[in-house]
Amino acid sequence: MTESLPPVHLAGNCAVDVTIENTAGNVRRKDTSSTGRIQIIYEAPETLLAGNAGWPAYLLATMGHPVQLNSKVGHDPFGIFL
Amino acid sequence: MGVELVGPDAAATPVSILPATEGGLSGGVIYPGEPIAWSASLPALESATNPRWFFVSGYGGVRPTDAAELLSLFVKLHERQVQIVFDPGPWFAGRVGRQEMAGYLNPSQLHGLREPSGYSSGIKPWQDHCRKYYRLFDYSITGWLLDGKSGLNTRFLSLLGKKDIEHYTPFSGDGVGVGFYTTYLSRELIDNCPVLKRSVPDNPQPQHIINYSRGVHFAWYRTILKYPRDIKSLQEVCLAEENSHNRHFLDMYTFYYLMRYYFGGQNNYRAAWVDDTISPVVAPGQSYPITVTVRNDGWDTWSNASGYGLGYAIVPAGQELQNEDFTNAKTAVPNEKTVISGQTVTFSLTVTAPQSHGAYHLYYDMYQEGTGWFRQQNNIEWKTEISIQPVK
Repeated sequence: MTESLPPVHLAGNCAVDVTIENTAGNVRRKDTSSTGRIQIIYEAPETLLAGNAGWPAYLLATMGHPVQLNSKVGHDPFGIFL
Repeated sequence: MGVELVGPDAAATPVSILPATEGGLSGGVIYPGEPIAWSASLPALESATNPRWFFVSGYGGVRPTDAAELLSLFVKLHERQVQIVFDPGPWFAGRVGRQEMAGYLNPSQLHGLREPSGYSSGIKPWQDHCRKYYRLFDYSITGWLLDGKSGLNTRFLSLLGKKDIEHYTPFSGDGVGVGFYTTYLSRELIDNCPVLKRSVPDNPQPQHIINYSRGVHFAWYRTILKYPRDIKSLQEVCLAEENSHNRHFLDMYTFYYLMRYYFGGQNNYRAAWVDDTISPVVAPGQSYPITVTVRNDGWDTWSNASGYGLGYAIVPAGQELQNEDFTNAKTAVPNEKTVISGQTVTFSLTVTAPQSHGAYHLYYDMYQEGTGWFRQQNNIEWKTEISIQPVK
């Protein structure tokens, strides 16, 4: 299937989204010892592939489509994650 | 998986920190990363197997120069018959709009006294500017026209009026959405262009959308920092309420076409430009057989019998196109062809280059005998640059 599909070339951002559930139900306690603005939460932040080009590239590749991606990521932990 | 990274490395990876509250995404912090090297896509696309698709989106730090660089790349890819999909938002729509692209200034400051600068009218340059980018990105709808003053009464700004909207219809002939702060009435046709004032607040609740008396009702809304799932949910709630209202959520084109039809306008003479085969460099006085492919985006049916066809004009670069510039060498829709809405037609014609060397603009437009050019119906004609150079 993959061989017969035309390649898609994508250009744009490829990024990491770190989402933090800042809901009342997720707050374990508020830290009142410092600024009082720090909240200790139950759920760990989620780290997700994102970007207007990065995400469609991933999605198409997952579906078996040949893709190329022109983007810029660094040699840093987030880039390694991507 | 097979994702090949073809762009150069960056110093750091773009990262967004996004807190999610009960109401959806709430603010956040974005490190936008570095500019994309758009031209890095060209070698990969040139070496790929036909047919090839190029999907372009932005990045968090889009600059005005990105649009110019992409335009140059689009022209090269177009010559190589690469199919281009451009997604301008949110990065291009938000960042480039201020300086380089169409759509971000205070429309009421384009004309009149233009205090405090006292400059002459900015209508014509602004329309030329917008037409260029609407043509480039195949736009024909202005989604949301507003003044940045957001309803404040200031010395230098007045509320948007009908005149301001009329300045936009020549290049956005398929629809104009107008913000809250206007003296303009809620909805009507202006020069056959459907115009609708916004009636629903940001991030609306279902009751904002469904609270209207029975009958035909048109409304548009916007959401900010909402997930697609939130919009889907909002629409599902609205659709579940009082089904007898027969509500529909539509794409912008269907929405405005139906609105135009409902208010007695016509959805004819709409064309989208698919392809042409003219060489960017031609010899003076020489004739070139070419093809031009056009899609019928209107509700009328194009045929030879009904007088539809294609014409072209060549004018020196920088000179404003007039209807009289189109040559008499018109090409009618092929005899055997009937082009209904959504279908394409390919015209075979011969283009003759001017005798003088230099930079020119070649324009194509559709016409119907007895009606005139589509550009007279606020459908933007196609334009391509050609260079007339002596044969070496």
